Formats: sequence, C-alpha cells, structure tokens
Amino acid sequence: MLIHVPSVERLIEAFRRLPGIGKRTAERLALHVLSAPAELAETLSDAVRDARSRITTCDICGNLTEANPCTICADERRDHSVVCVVERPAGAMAIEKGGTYRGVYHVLHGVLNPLEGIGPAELKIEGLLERVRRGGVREVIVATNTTAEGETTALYLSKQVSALNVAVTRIAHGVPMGGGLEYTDDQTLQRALEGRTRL
Amino acid sequence: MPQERTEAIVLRGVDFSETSRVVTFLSPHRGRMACLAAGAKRAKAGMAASLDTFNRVELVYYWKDSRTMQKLGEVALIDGYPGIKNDLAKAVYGALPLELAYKIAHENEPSPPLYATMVTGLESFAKWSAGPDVHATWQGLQLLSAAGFAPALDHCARCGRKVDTPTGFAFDGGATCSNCPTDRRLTPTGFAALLALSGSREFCPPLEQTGDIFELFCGFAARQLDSDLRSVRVIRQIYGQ
Ligand SMILES: [Zn+2]
Ligand SMILES: [Zn+2]
Repeated sequence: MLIHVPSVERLIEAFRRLPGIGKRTAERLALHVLSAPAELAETLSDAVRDARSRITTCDICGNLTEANPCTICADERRDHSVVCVVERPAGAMAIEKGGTYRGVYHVLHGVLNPLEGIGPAELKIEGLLERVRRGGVREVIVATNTTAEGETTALYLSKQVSALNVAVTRIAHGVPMGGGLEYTDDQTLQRALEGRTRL
Repeated sequence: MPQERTEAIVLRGVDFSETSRVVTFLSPHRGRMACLAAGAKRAKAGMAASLDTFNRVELVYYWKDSRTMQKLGEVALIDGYPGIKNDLAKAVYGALPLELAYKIAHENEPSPPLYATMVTGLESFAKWSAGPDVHATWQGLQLLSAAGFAPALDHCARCGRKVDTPTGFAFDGGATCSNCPTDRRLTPTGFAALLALSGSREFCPPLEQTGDIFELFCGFAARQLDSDLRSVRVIRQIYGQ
C-alpha cells in the first residue's frame, strides 16, 4: 500500500495543486508515474524544471517567453502598430491559434477587480501606456473577457489610451459559431444585436 | 439533499478550477451563500453570463447544513444592471456596496432587509446620473443601517449629549460635539449631506454639495466592520479620492 507514504503523499499533493485536478485524478496520476518505468518520472521532472527555469515574461508585452523579447515582439513581419490587450498569456495563445492576427500583444496579468483590491497599479497597465506613449501604435484592441471586471478594465483602458490620441477598439461579442439563437443567453444576444455589422 | 430556490445578488466570483467557479451570493433567507458552479466557465454552459458580479439572479441550489459551499443547480438572470457595468465610475464605485454587503452579511443568517436594501441600491445606481461617490455613500449608509451600524447623528457619539449641529465625526460612532475628541471635522455641508443620505431609504437624494462625505463614510465603514476596504483602495487609486 502506497497510501500514507510521505513521498507519495507529497507527489499527490503536488498534482492536486494543478488546475482541474481533484483528489482522485491526482492519486491516479501519482500511481501512474510511480508504476511506469523510471524514465517517465525523470523526463517529466526534467521538463518541468527546465521549462520553468527558462520561461520568463517578455519585457515588452508581458507574455510568457523563453527569449526576451519574445518571438512575437521580435518578429519584424508582424504589425507592431496594432496591440491586442489580453488578461492572461492563455488569451494571447488562444488568438495565436486562430492564426489570422498579425499584430502584437500586451498581457495585463489580470483585470481590474476593486472587490479583490486589484487596481491599475497591480496590473501591467503602465507598461501598455508607456508603449503607446513611445509612439508607433495606432490601434489598441481590448480583448479582456466579457465579465463585469473585464468590461471595467476595457472602459478604463479606453479612457487612458484615447487620452493619448490612439484608437481603442473592443473585440465583438456575440453568438458563437454554429450556435443557435435559442440557446444563446439574453445578455449575449443583446450584445450581438448592439454590435451588428452591415452586410 | 433538499433543492431550494431563491433570488440573489452575485457579490463575488473566484475561479475554482479550469471549468468551475465559486460564486458568493447575497440572498434574503440564507444570507451570504457560497456556491460551487461546476462547469460555469465553459462558454456553452450559458451559466457564466448569469453569474457575473452585480447580477440579480434567480437560482436553484442544493442545500446541506454540513458544508460551507453549496451546490448550484440552475441560474436565471433577473437583471444584469448594464447601467452600472457600462459606466467606468459606477462599476468602480459600485464595488464598495458589494464589498460592504459581503462583509456585513453572515452565512445562513436570514436578512430580507439587507437584501432589499442591496436591490434598491443597485436599481437606483443603474439609473443615477450624478456623482457616483455620493451614490455609493448613500448605498453604504443604507446597508450599514440595515445591519444595525447606522452612525449617530442626533447625539454626540462620544458623550451622548444631544447635538443639533455637530462639529466633528468619530469613525467608531458618528457625529461628535465640540467638546469631545474627534477623527474628522464635520462641516455644516457635510452634516446636512450625511443627514439627507441616511434618512432617505428609497432613493439617493440629489445633493449639490456633499463636502468630503465619501472619505468620512469610508473611515466609518472600515472602523465599524473592522476591516480594510479593498474597493476603497482601488477607488482612490483610480479617482484619487
Ligand atoms: Zn513580447
Ligand atoms: Zn460629546
């Protein structure tokens, strides 16, 4: 029995701290790592340690990167006059997967959340404004989530960036592709109607 | 596990896992209630939009006395208060009443008056066109008063003597007379504003002059609840109040 063995408990606990992993899954993963050939555990721990020590945040955009500046900020073929603002690195990754966006990013590492005490100073907002002040940016696309906090952040950025005479746009919200209107919630439908475009 | 249904206001939401959120509601009969909304972060669930902060919703949940986090069943939106969310200043100042309600309400303690005060306040704020600091102060005073923390205004909070025109304000009790020590000077304008805001239950009175009543209220609320108010720190950061 491996239960109550301190080293195993530690491994289970470590897995449990990952998002989306409960107690049962953590136990299953731990047992798997321990019963598979030792090489798996070595590869896994080396990969985690190696990636963690190499990855840092880009000095320009705040995205996670191995090179500094990141490959996107360093890419001259991209349009550096368009900056897409996202809450987290995962947001930038999602847009990159789409494969059509050619501008650059700015990662805020959170959203304004007065209730949790998160104001502009707690986010990478000054860095964004500094980029805009330095010149060369003609549009800032705000792609924060459509939560109350994401919207508050968008309104705040819009005020700050427009004061620097640079256009601010907000990504459209609406009915998901392949989605039926009858399954779309009222608020999304309302936003979809407000954000309609001419055909 | 009995299924219950209630109306509620979404006070706060935090991510629990990749797909779930823990949402804290203010409800009339269960007080402050934390629920696990499994799968709420998946776009298809349609639940995420209803669980946004500030929302007034109707929800179905599964109650069990033994646990601190209840299980959420269904949620339907009653009002999303776009009038608050689409206005930067309202969205920022509006966090103060939410934080106060979160700190005033107790788990599983019925408080229909506190809930009614919260709803009246949100409805009024969505339509309000004057200074958001005044409105947030009014909402805050009403919430504190519904929970028994109203500031003394007709007598000195320190010596108890009756005063018509107090000259100071003590954060631990309210208005003070000229003989007692105080935390802040209270101008006649500030006192008049405080009286008007405390006295009006149904709507925020449209005041022309209020002095530094917002700061005064924040000091009072922080002392009454014995708590550092995070939303006030952010309001100060953004609006320099
Ligand atoms: Zn970069
Ligand atoms: Zn006195």
